[in-house]
Amino acid sequence: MKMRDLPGRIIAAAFTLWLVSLLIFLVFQVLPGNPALIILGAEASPEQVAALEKELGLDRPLFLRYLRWLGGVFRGDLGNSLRYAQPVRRLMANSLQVTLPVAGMALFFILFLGIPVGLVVGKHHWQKRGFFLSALLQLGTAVPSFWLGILLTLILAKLFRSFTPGAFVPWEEDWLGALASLIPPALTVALPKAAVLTRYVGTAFIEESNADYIRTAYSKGLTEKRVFYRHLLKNILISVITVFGLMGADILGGSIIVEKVFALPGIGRLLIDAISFRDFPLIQGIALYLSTVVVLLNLLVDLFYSILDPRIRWR
Amino acid sequence: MTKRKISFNLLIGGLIVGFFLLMLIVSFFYTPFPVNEMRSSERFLPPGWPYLLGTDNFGRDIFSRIMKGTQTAFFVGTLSVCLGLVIGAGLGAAGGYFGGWVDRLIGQLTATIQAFPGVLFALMIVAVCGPGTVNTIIALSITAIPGFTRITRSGFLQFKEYSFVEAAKTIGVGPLRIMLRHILPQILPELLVAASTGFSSALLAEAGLSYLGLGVQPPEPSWGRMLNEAQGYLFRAPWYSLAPGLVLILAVLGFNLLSDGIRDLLDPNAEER
Amino acid sequence: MRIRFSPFYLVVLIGILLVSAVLWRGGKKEPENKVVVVIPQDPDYLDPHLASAAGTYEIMFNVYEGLLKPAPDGSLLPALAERYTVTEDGLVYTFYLRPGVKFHNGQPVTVADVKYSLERLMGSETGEPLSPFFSKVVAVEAPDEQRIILKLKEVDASLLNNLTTAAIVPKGYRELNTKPVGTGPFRFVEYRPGQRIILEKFADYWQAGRPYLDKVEFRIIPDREAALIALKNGTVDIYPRIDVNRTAELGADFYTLQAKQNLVQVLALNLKREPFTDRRVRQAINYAVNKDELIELAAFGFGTKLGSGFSPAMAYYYEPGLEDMYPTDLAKAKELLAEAGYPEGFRTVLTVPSNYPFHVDTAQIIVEQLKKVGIEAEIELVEWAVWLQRVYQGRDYAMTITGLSGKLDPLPVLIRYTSDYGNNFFNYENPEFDRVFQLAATERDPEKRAALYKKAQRILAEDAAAVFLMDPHYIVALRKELTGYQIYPLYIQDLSTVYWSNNNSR
Repeated sequence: MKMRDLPGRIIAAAFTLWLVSLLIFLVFQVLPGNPALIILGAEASPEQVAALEKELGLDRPLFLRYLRWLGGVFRGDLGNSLRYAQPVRRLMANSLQVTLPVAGMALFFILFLGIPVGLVVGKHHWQKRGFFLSALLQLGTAVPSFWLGILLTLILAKLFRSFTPGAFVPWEEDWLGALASLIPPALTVALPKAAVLTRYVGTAFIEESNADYIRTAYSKGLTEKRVFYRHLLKNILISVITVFGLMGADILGGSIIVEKVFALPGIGRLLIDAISFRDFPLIQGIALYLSTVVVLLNLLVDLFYSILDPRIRWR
Repeated sequence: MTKRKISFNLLIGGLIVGFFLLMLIVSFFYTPFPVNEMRSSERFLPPGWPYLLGTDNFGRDIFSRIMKGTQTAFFVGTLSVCLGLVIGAGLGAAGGYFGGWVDRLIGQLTATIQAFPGVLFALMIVAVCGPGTVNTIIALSITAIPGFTRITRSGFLQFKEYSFVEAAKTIGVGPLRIMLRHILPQILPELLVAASTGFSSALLAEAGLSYLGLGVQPPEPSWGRMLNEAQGYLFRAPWYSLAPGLVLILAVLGFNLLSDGIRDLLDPNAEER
Repeated sequence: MRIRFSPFYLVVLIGILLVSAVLWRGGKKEPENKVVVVIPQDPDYLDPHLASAAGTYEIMFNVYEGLLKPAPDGSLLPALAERYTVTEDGLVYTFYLRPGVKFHNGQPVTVADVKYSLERLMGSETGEPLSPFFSKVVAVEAPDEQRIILKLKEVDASLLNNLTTAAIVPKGYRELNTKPVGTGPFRFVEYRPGQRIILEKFADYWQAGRPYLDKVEFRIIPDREAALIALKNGTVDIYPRIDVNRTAELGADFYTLQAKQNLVQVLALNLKREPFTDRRVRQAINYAVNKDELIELAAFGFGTKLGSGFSPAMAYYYEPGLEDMYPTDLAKAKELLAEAGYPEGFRTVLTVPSNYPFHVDTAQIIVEQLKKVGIEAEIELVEWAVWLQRVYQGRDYAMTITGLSGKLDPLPVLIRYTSDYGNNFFNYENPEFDRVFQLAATERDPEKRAALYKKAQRILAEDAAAVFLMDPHYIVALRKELTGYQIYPLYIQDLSTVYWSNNNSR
């Protein structure tokens, strides 16, 4: 990517984000469900429901509400949640306090498991050890994260009496406890993805070590260490960066399923709540965040590529 | 290394998939117990005889339900991959072959679908159409489209420059015919591999949706749905959570191995990936 | 190549895990005179006049109070009104304000606050009532500093019961929804959506000595499994509505209390839709559904069989014996179906809200039971949002399962079956029922009133207006050191009487 392509890409990305919000708006046109009724529940009288509809502005056409929302976005205001009567931004910030640390730890685990183990697999792939490891990896990529979560819950609860899924304490009260309670979900998110990354790294290792430039490097008489760190590792990292970028997007979105398994109040759970309460501003806000993360990471990966390897142009 | 390993992937993958196909066929004619029959006196029995994998909270036979669940899994998997493949490949072919605004439009479409991470897109669709098997299939096939589109598009971009395509064009062969007869066969192997991988991700996605309670509806047995119900009895009947999960993993593993095997078979130079 | 990579990272990882688990264990709070109650969902509104969800009332019962208060046996206790008088014709109520009661913000409660609160509910100024229960009140007057007079246009036998939920709030206070201020035993401290609600002891509470606890936290954990584990490891102390099948694994550190919860779990049949328009079909379904098996399978035996739309939890108004009107009898069911013109049974759809696993389980069992008489019901799970709009409000369904919660008074329970009631999603229309119901609503003699309500229940049962399944028992699990918990026939967590029996520590 040349730097002059950047503005065009950014405009295209913004366009995609707008399309996503439009799509959600259209979905809401046909989605059955009345937020006022859901908030008040089955005990409410029709009068109460009507009063609440008016208060929430639900009597105005959705199109106008969408335009107002869109206008707000440009002023950095995501509006108020219908369900919680609180700013969407504050609600999202609360949930991200859970989702982002989980994502951060998960990415950490993926990198620090995936790359070294991948190198081992690549190096020994023709030996029994490598074979055993890749069989294990095949298995690892096949495990659904939520089942892994269920299993972890079972094991941890048997091992430690004090383990509570969903017992997330706010950071300012007990940051150590909060951190600890997020490790099992982070592991659950990380392990299957680490297996995928490992396989990529392993393959890249095999491909790169047979490449001509490595042979050239050896023939120049460079030491093994030097060849590895100066040449091999760099190229392997380049080739796995796309995969890692895509994983990042997936993970930063908060794994809805893993959050359910561990009953964490993260962004995924907030979204499911928002959908079930037909909380239009909240859904739009979260969707905007999620798609921004995806689009932005794709952009970053491309940018990274062009910096690391000038030969690569736009795909 | 390669020779032995190729056959290994293909062999094991084929065996596992074959086992599931067998279970699928048998389940149409025979299950040890009626899948939905409830026996209040036989609930939460651990694996043993006559309930091979134990019983659930209603006293239903878990093994029979897992067998029946194969039908659901394969039904959803097959249909969603086929739909995704046909639509995705169609779009990719159009984009790659015609280029220009068609390509840009299709590119924007797939980018929009992909801007929803993970199961979110499927979640939205299910939220609109309501949960259920058919809607799960629709949701999963839409999320599968971009992958097939990408593969087909790059294949078409590559092959449309080739001389045999140019030659066909000059003698007046129509674009549709060129696409179907000349280019498509070239990229078919790659699509096949993608379809096999797609099948295993469809299995995982269906299980995930059903686990969230949004996919296949009770009392129809689905592995994911069973896990959803089983989690409530995790400590009382751990086998109820373990069995459907292990079966799911085995199926996914089988299809992954199979797709690796096919890849190696079709392209002996490619490394394991 | 001789580069060595040892998968020591795995070891490091496991190490982190172990250390964290240990830290976690060590991170226990110092003893506090506090109780944590687990609840499954967020409140709808903190403003008591806007809130209508039962899940909100159960929390805010500790914060807000009305002129009267319910007692655990279902009777009424004086609260902010220390006594009241009613005129002979039942049209004028005079309440005498309890002196010296303070709001959580320190202000004393005056008759002006009471008048403001009631008028806000009635919508006197806006013209849009926030509560439908005070439509018969024509005027609220505060002639002096002690008396509040309610004038009615016609007799309303439910008025006193309705006053228990009419929270008294400070006049003109605008921030009820974010910073609730009431007169209850606990004052509101903090609400974090999706996480928790914290209440603190209100030192100036009018009932001397109460509450015993310094702090109460309502922890929001939607997942039942997580809630159970949280209880077991001491994160929470009280788990209301614990699943019946889980009480066995609690162990010696806990005890449970159970009671009928005044809830009617019902299989509703759309009475305006074929074939349920035919009473014989409805009776056939009643004969086909085996409630005893249902209670065993879905509720592990912890449920009380019902025969009409009323729970025996309110024994005074309950008509006994109706639950045996339709004993399980498949032959009889088939016979009735044949009479109605469905000798082979029929196909139908059972719509169930997916967020209630208990109803989903019930549906699966009923489908199997109906199969035996040839009725093929297909389960359709819908989101709660869709259920409310399409089934409850739109009445577009064939069969559905839901739970109708009871009140202190039979009126709001049985009004659901009156033909002109907005939320009569049964589509039940019976002039005789309407007539009996009307008589009961204006009857001032308690015994006659009870007799009329009993008659109404009998009509529902004879008509097979629905299949009334069970009142699933309310079961609460508590730490064994906790004492004083009282069960109400209402959706309430009353923490004002709860205390730690082991010197205020945990």
